[in-house]
Amino acid sequence: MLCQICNKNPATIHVQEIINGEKKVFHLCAECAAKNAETEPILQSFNLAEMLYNFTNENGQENAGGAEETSAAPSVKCAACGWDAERFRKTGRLGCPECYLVFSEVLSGVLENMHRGSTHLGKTPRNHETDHRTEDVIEKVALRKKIADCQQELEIRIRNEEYEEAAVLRDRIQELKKALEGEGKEDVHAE
Amino acid sequence: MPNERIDALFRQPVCWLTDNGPEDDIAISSRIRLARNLSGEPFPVRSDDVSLTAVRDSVFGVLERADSMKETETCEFKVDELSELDRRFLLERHLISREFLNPRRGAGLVTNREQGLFVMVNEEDHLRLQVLAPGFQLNEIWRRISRLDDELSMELPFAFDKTFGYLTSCPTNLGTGLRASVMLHLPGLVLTNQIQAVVQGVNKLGLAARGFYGEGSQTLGNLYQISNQSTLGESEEQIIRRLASVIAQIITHEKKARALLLANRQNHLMNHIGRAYGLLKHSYIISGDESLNSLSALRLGVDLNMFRSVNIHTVNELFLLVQAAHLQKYEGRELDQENRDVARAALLRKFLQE
Ligand SMILES: [Zn+2]
Ligand SMILES: [Zn+2]
Repeated sequence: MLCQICNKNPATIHVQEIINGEKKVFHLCAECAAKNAETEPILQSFNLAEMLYNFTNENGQENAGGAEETSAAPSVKCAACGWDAERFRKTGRLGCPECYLVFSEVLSGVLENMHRGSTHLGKTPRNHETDHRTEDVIEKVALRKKIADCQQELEIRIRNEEYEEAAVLRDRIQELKKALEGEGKEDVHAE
Repeated sequence: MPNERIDALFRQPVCWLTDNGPEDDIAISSRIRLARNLSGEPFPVRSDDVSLTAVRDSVFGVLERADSMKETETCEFKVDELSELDRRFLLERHLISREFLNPRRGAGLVTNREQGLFVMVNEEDHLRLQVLAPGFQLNEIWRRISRLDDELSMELPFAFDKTFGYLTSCPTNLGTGLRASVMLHLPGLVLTNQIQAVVQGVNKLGLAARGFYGEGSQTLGNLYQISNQSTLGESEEQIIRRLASVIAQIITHEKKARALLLANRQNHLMNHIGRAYGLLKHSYIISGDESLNSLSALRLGVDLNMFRSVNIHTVNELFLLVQAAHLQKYEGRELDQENRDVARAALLRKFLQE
């Protein structure tokens, strides 16, 4: 797609805004976006998030392993919340805290451009010293992933009319869900 | 059906408009927000109604007990249950963002009575802690909001990673989750045609310059909100120091521009201000945009001691009251645009009567 302003350079910045319920999308090259940032009200809000739309293209050209990444990106999916690369690209948002692990490869290049560094130098939550919460989260992610795997297998077994195996899996899922609830007792609400 | 707590809030003076602050002839207000999420929970964009409502209940509960909020009594709002007019009113007070005009289930707001410390629940992130104060005082408000953040982090498991910092729904807020901004009134730089260069300079330094209502809004009333863009790779203090040094420079430029106008183009300047004052004082129909732009000129006149009968607090109050939702709250009824323009003119005549 070409830039809407110069019609010459490829559009690498896609600004989307909802103004009074009306969706407006602008497709621009970096040069024109910078040039018009002050005069176009819509571009004053030009958010660095929009760079995200762009990550597959640029990574593909810039990184050595880019080709592989580009083809692999659409299949990346967060086991905890089901968010995928496509949604990430479309919204510029992640689905849950665990997504940061899942999409870390894609993110690493983007964060460098977006921020003044890629490592947090700010404050730490008050009772984070113990780090037990992080461990909980990691365990929970593993559990959720196992449940998702079992459920997928269960569907296949049922489709193949392998009911004995299906029953075993159903019990296994129940067990895992109980374990997850036990893990989640620190949570704001139990699922 | 009128919401009593919204109406009570309407009558409550707004601390960042009524109180005095450092450099408040140019810096209207300073603001910091912190984005926080709960670990083990999907972000609001990925969550469902049941979980979002549970998050809101739990955050409301913690905030009710928080000492930082307790200095005065707090007000809680289930934003998704408010009328459109009430939501617009909260937006005009800068208590909620544009996104909350179309809120998801479980959207919430908790504010102290002075409206200087408040928390949005289930906006883009589970929590958006905010502090707002008059004038230019980023260090003071940073201490204030960091204290609330510490207190909440004792009770709520914030999603945090050693490398990435506070985990946010949008990677642009990752790390500190901190967005600091100062609202500047810059008529001098606008009238001397220097504003473009200033905005460009600000952008080059990796900071953002936005209009009155934040993202996507147009510049009205010569008001510019300058904020940091990057949230990762620097400490909160470093981010604030970098932003503050740029803002201090802009304030100096604005002062120079005002002095220059007074020295070289005094008649033009007085004419500009005097006409705006006349328009505000004698109109019978006036739009919101025209009011804000004229009020900007009037504010400059007050800063330059041109008017004895108008004080800065009246001008500040009018900046808020001429906006659509405030006007309707003031009148106590809903008005269409034509009637708003008439009511707005009447209100301005009344407030500026000598
Ligand atoms: Zn172009
Ligand atoms: Zn996820």
